[in-house]
Amino acid sequence: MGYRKVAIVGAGITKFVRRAEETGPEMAYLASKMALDQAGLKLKDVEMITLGTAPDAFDGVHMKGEYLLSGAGGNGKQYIRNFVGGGTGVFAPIHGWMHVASGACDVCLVVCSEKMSSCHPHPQGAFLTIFDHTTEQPLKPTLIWIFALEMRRYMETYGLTKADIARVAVKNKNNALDHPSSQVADTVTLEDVLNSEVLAEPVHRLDISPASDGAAAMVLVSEHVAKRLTDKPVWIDGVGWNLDTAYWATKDLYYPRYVEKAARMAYEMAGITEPHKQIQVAEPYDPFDYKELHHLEGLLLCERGDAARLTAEGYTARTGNLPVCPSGGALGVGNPIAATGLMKVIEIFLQLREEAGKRQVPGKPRVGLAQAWGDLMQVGTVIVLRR
Amino acid sequence: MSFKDSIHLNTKLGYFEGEIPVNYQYTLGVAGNIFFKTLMEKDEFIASECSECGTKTIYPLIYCEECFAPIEKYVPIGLVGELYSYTHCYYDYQGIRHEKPHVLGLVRFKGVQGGIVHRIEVKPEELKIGMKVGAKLKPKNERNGGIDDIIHFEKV
Repeated sequence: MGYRKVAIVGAGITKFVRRAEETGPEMAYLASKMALDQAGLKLKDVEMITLGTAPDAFDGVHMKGEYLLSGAGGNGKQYIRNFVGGGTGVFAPIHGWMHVASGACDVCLVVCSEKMSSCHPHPQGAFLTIFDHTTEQPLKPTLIWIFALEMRRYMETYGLTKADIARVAVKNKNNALDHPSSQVADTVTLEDVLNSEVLAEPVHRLDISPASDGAAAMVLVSEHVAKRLTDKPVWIDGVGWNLDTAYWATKDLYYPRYVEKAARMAYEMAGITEPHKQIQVAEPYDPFDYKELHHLEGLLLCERGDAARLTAEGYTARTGNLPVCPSGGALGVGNPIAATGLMKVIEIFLQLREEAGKRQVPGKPRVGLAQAWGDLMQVGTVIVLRR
Repeated sequence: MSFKDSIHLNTKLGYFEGEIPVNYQYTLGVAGNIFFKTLMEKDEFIASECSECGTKTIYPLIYCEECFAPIEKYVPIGLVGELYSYTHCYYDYQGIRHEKPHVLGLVRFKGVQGGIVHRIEVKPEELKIGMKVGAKLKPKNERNGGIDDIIHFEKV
């Protein structure tokens, strides 16, 4: 379609923690510097910067993009903030891809930073006003309530039990034991998840990822620059995004059509015709355990309603036919919203370079995918990488 | 009632009141902690100094904005600077008018990038851009490691 090839040549990620001493710009700096160092570049080599971060109300800083600019290396540069809610972390590298693929620049730094711990008594309060002010806010909803509705409908549609869902939390929290940035890795068992505190039935505490502080960054470059910098470029082969209505009650809660549409866009660009056979490692967004299953189906990586069976049979384990969330995902590594999505893209980058250490999946994968999701069940962002 | 009709009483239309029910606890950050701890204990401002390009910055950062090198050195720069600009403020951020305006100024320090915005207590006839001003600090036992440890800047 006339796009220039775009490669990832460096990545950086901070630890994900409940409360960081660092400010947002300080976290953004630490991740950005790591990414530039890995790429063998200086800030002066960077032409454009795109920054992804979740709503301003989390950090309590209006115009958060401008606030984070300095730490993201944006001082005096062509810098822009991108934002599609919880889907931002995967949209950020898509936005960076636009900069390089279009020919607007050869070197683009992508940064995501999130400081949720500033928000008291809980970031759920900041979510309140994403609901309709007239029909929903007076009920004082939390996101957990509506995801409980979605989870129950998903379970009902396909005849799934709580245990079918909870296996995802067990897998991901254990996978995260090998991730150096991990906040909530643990050797939890199925019983631990099933017996954890009920928040809004059927959602229990260990079904959910935590609120986190953290940052991630990556360097995208054009083909001729990539050839100068590395023998191991990872190419962005396909990108897709799709947004659905904020009137979430009008949708089928058991299936994320917007994720499917985003995936189809990315697959078409990447020439992927049979995703369940061609995608060799995947990092779908898993802020809740059932969302990983939901997203595997929306990404066309399995039949509708079949993701839980595949999980139970070990198909999605790190050593399975399709390793899913080998990083440990949001459930294990933590969930500093935008930084989580970029952490997932970085995990695929490392897996394809065979640099994932203890998390490395077998079989020398060549093609992988990361996906994020967000807002009122309405955003899907997908990126396909290839080495 | 439609968009083109003029409404003078907001409550004439159906409405719900709302708010974002959160408050914030901001961390000072790594460099901020160093700055305010030094001010609290040693009565001096510090700037970050870049070991690669030499740029000094106040408030200090953990990185150099110019060359993006990590900061390894923080240097004292005293409490006295130069008044770079000032204004007389009559209204606060809620639109409430003060009986008497207060003066807000930007103070800069020689050889240092950045500056400190704070209250300026100088006789109106002496107020002048470029004048030397110094920070008046609270007594040590009243400091709590924040910007209000500085009472104001005054003529020196």
